[in-house]
Amino acid sequence: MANEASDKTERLINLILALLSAKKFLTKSQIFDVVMVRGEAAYQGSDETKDRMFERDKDDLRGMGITIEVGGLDPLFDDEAGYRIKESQYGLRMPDLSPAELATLSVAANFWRDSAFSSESQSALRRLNSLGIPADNTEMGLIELRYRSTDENFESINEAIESKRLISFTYSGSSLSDKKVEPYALLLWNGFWYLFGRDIDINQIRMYKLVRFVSGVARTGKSNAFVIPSDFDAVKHLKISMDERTQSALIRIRTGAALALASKGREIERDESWVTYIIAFESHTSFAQTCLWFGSDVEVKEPIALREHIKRLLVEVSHG
Amino acid sequence: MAETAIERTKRALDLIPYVMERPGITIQELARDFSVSEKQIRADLDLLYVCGLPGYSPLELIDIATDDDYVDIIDPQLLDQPRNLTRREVIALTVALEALAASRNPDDKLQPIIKGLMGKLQSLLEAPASPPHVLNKESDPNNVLSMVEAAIKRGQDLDIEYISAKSNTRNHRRISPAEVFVENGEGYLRAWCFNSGAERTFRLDRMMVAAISTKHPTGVMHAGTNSGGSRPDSIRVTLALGGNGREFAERHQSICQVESVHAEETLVSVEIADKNWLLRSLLGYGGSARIIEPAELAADLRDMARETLELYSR
Repeated sequence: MANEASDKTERLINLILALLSAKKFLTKSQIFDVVMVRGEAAYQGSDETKDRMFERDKDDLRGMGITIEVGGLDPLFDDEAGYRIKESQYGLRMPDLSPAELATLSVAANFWRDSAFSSESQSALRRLNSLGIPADNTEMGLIELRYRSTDENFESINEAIESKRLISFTYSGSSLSDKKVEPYALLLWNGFWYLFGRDIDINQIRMYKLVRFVSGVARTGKSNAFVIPSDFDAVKHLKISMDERTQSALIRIRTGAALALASKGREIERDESWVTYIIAFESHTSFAQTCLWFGSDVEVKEPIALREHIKRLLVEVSHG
Repeated sequence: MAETAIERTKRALDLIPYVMERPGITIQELARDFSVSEKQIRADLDLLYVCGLPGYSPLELIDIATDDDYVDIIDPQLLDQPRNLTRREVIALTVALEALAASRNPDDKLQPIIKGLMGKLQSLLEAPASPPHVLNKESDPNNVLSMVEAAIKRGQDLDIEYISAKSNTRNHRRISPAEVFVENGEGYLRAWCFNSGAERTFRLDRMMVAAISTKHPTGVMHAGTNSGGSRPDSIRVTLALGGNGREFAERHQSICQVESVHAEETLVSVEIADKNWLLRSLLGYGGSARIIEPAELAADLRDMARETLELYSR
């Protein structure tokens, strides 16, 4: 039983085969002559219709990773452009993939399960597994990567970064607001995806947590609408905005208490009921949470800014 | 949703080299490997069977033999190679590798392999990409991961020294490890714990020592012991989360249910078995996470804050 979708599939496959088998560049009219679907010309209708179909087919093939060469143009004559696919460019080009590398890719690809890029990574793996490389799991760890299923906005943001298009969305920050942003980079940090981009209303680079988007993402305007500053570095930006640098704290822990925290510190002093430790930490926010988890068994002495931060949190809670 | 002609074309093209690499593979196996129905695989093979080079004589068509359910490619025409990777696929694999690298220590034996692969993938891209990045805190500070993985691979038990934050104890346990995973940046091990006679999840950063057990192996981890069932002591708590406090619901999605979203705060209902755990977790969010109901629990949280605050008021 024929239908439009399977006709198109047949047309695309036959087009690929025609272009692959061509010794010389095929002109459009030659392609329209030779490519058939179920015994009839694959491209039918007015010249304009056929042209449009062919243009769309070319885009579709490129989207599948197939490189179409354009050539055969002789500048002295008013020649038509010609097309072909080189066999060497159709095939998967992965330089010397070792069995251990293939196994590593299989484990890594799990990262995307149930999320935006899962069909891409699984399809890529199937093809890598068609290269005739023997499977090898001897060197493999069995670690499984489980990240929060990727956000539904992840894909459209990634596309916008690739094409350098503006995006707009509603964001639930300190309050709800509509944002218009030049998207620069996505970054997964401690289990959450963040977008870095220039908020064009305030003309500053900001970071946005994807789970706090309360709307979809609309891509607006033209492609290549902006240039990412050459000195922009998402990782550096994150560390600055999160105040994430390794520093050390001086804390007191009640003797025998908070073992999970004490095991990470270096003991420097002890008296009857308290032991003092030096302990490394990165972010005020998350280290304050860690210490407060142990309630009155842990006291942060230094840095003063952290101590004040904790004190403020406690005052807030005690006033409920 | 009906799949697009593009998706189907990709699969049909990819089936040919996949079968050529595995002559005699069954329709059932192909359906499993390509995550579609057997009917779809048959339809794809039927379609390929009528495709070919211009001319479309029997000699120019793709030829496939299906004997019962066994599939063989007789003549692939020019489609014997797997299709090249697309830009999106290269980016997807690059990010996945970065996540794998971030989950392991810098001196892990996988790191050089991962680095080499990232370079190979980059070389496939015509225009440079800025793929999403992955950063993690160190999930295996005590270097126990390689030992744990070795034990899983060989089906051996482990002797570990583990710190429990909940009961504040550090003790020896014998466990039969099942799987290691990294969730939200934290490394975990799911295992059968002989000391408690139950399945437990251990945090890698609280595992101080791990060694292959010298006692005779008990074999594989007891599977399917998920207790599930009712939790008799669970209580329902309503929270108002604003600002940084919203992270609580983001971190604990499985137990949180959003009741209503307001401009400044989100009302969330949480079902918990251990109210102490909730109080300890909320304390660090300050005023951005408030207990609305039950009132006694809100009072407990205030008391806990006051008691701790005494340390800071001297």
